Amino acid sequence: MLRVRNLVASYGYNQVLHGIDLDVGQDEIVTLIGSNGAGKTTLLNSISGHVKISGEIYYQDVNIAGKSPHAIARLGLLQVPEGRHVFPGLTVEENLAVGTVVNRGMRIRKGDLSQDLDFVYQIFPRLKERRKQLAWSLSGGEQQMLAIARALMGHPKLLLLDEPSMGLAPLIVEEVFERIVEINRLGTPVLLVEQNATMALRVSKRAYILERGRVKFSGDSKEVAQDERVREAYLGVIRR
Amino acid sequence: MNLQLLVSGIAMGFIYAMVSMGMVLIFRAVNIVNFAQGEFLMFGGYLCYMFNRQLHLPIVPALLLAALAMGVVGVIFMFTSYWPLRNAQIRAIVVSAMGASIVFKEGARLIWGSIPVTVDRVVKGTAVIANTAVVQWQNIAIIGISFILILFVYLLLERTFIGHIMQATAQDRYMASLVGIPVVFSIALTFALSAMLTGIGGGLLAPLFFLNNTMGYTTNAKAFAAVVIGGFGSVPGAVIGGLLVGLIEAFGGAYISTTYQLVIIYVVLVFFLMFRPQGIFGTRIQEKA
Ligand SMILES: Nc1ncnc2c1ncn2[C@@H]1O[C@H](COP(=O)(O)OP(=O)(O)OP(=O)(O)O)[C@@H](O)[C@H]1O
Ligand SMILES: [Mg+2]
Repeated sequence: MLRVRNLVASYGYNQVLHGIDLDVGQDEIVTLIGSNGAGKTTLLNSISGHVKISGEIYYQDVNIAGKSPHAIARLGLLQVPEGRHVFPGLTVEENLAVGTVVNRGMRIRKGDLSQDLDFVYQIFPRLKERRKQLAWSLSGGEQQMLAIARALMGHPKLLLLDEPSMGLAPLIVEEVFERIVEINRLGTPVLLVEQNATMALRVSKRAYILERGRVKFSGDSKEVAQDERVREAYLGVIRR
Repeated sequence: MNLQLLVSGIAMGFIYAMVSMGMVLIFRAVNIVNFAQGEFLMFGGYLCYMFNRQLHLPIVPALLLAALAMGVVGVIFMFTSYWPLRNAQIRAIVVSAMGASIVFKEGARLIWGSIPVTVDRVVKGTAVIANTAVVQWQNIAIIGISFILILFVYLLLERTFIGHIMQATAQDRYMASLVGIPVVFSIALTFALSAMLTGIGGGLLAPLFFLNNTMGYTTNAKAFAAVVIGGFGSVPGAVIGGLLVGLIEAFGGAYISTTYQLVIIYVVLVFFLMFRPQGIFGTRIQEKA
């Protein structure tokens, strides 16, 4: 599905990623864990075409490195960025409608979206109650749900989620993760970046640990969760 | 109440509204106050002159062709004056727009000379209103046509899907590209719309006031005042602000002084900045902390 090979990314002279290899298979949830500044967001932004890179990114065996962001999105790689980025001056439903540009293109009238809307409202019923509300006035959790729902409106073939739990109350985090698992079960592979490592390792199949722009460790999520160094550094478990 | 003055003030107000609304469209799309917006009015007027007086087309098709041509001018302006500097500091872009306004001004002089020119009226003659006021039909035409165009652009932005796409691009460009919007295209469309709306104003205005290549300068100042008075970034605010500026200018000119019209407008502007700095309509979008 997605194969990243020897990915190097820099901002000006500041090299941030030093040769990353990473795979996401059909139907998987893959977790990417790392401390602040490790380069997780940079990796997602590299995949979605927002950072100048060298190396290869194969998506269904086509190298997408160097393509423009909207062209990559139109292939079905949809990123839900860190900090949600809802369109603040549009209503919930208008935000969701804009999410369909990715598979239906730019057009004068939005057309009949009821099927897609029903689908995402079924996953996030709370958005339906708020559908006429301007997005800036939603709570943080609702904005996160909207950001994910908007991506779903575009029928993603691969979902890139950047810290969906950031700033949310534990109960809402629980809910968001349940939805992510549900979305994945319906057939969408997910690359999940998380600070909340415990949660992320529980729902994912495989995991990568990123440290200062390098993959330090990778493997089955269960094994990763058992690893001493990982437990100490990312799960807050003190070694006896 | 002087009815004649009221009508011509409202007509001028609608012309300014087309300039200030165009300014706000660009401001909302790229966060830059376009100090070449007044030149769009001037250039649109000259293009209309070219189609109407030099190529001898009737005024209505001349206006339409001028509007289309201004759409192209707006896109060229965006690709030359804004896009290469999109990641630069805002002041660099403001200076670049000012540079572009000189290019428009001198370009118009090179192409059409510096002798003031005019175009045909959409409706000729005068009407007598309430048995007392003699009003030029062109003023009524300006009010009607501008109102329809402003409403059309407003509805396009607020009620159509492409309008929502343009708003989304204006509000968060990074996110817009993540949902598959070709950001360049969406911004170019906004510039085209802005230049068309303002440019038509030039063709409507030309029969009342002769066109000259330096008229953009004072127009910019008045449109900017209108934008601030209306509430920075607000589309309805820009329209109301434009109307106010037109009325202040008309009545100030008649009862106080024609020489100091711009000063009077700025006095009102200063009052607004002192007592209602957010303008008539504050901003619609608030950032959540
Ligand atoms: N736009 C940018 N320009 C310059 N440097 C940047 C930029 N974005 C990120 N960096 C640098 O790249 C490094 C990696 O940043 P990145 O945002 O990818 O980290 P992250 O793993 O997502 O961190 P966090 O968990 O805090 O979100 C940091 O040192 C950061 O300072
Ligand atoms: Mg990050």
